[in-house]
Amino acid sequence: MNDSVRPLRRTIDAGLGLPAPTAEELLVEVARGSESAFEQLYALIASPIFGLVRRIVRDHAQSEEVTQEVLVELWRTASRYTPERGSALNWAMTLAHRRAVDRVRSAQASTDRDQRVAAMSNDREFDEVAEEVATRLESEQVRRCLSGLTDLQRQSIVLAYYNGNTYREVAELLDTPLGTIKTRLRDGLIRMRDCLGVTG
Amino acid sequence: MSPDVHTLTGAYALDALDPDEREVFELHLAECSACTHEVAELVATASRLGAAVAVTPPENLRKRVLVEITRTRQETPGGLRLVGADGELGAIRRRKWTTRISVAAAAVAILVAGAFGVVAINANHQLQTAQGALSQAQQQYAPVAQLLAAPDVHTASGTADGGSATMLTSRSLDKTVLVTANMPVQPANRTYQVWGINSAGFHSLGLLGNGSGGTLNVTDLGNARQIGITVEPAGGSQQPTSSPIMHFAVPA
Ligand SMILES: [Zn+2]
Repeated sequence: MNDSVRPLRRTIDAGLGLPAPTAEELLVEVARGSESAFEQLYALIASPIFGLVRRIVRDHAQSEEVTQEVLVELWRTASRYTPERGSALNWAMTLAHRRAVDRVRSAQASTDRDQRVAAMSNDREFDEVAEEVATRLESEQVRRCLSGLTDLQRQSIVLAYYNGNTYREVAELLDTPLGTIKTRLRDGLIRMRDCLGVTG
Repeated sequence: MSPDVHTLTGAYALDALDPDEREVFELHLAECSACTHEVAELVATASRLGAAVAVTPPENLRKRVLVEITRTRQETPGGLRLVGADGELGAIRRRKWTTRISVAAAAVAILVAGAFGVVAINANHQLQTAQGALSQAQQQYAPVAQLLAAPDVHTASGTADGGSATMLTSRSLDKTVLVTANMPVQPANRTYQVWGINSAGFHSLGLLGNGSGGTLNVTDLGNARQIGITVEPAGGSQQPTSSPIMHFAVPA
């Protein structure tokens, strides 16, 4: 049903007609120390990780640094992964988002951060961010589902997820009460969940 | 806790809470299954948003990462974290197994019973199991009795699925014995394998058969800091091929 992002099974099968291992199967091999499994896993997950990290961190060199950190951490902690934690991609993206957000928040502590928030309040710049996300999404389905949200739901989610803002900052940027943003992030994501057909 | 704490699932799934709020909400998650379930779904939804903006990284990043992993020690199966540089064993994450003092004490009771010919266990089936194990291993209890009599004997125990393992060690006797009881029976082509673990990794201490009780004279404890037991193919493995079903610190 929702195959736009999910199929992590590589299509290359070396002409043997054998299904290539899934990211989940590879991660199990990686946990046993297999470097070749990690190399195959890299081919499946490095681009989603790098794309998300770059979206949040912006600076190219820092984005590469954070991506490397995330990938090495996946190698280091592969034995913690179990299928109950969801797909391997989900596992990787959750780690990538958190590391990217940690990077921008620690780098932009105090005044820097305030200036960034102030700069983001500028309507033109915000429109640019929203536009960029809307036009560059590689997954048609995610774009379609995003466009099915209310403006406030979409803007809140885009700022929080793709820009790495806290919900307090989102409230400030959108000049909307904190409680409203909290609710919009939740009901917006629930609508995305249902639109994408995500199950726990 | 404010009544609308449940509505923080969205902000949490998007990493949009302040650190303090995140901590508080994680405490809430530990006791709210509805939120836990919702968070899992919303995190998976957020990951879809992330995957939708994939960009191929430069080739040199790939090379750097592949070099870096060859220099990066992995957490070992089962979540034991071995920290190399300072020689300290890192925090141990207990997931599937826990050390329960009461069961450990029961194991020592069985040992004492075996060593001194006194059995003091009430439940009949336990008694039979213990007696069976004891008669089978009667000879092997001599070193156990000797150890129990040593002034500097130290013990440590672990449990798994109703089975237990107890290690007794004495520096003055320079002797270490591991005794297992009631270990779940594995298929005939499997064996329990005992490992000494330190920051350099795992080394095999010996095999303990495929279940119930057994005694292992440990001759090469080396500088092991932890003992781990895994289920391996019969004959044992060079390195563990599965997560430890049990582990515990080497007696001090
Ligand atoms: Zn709740």
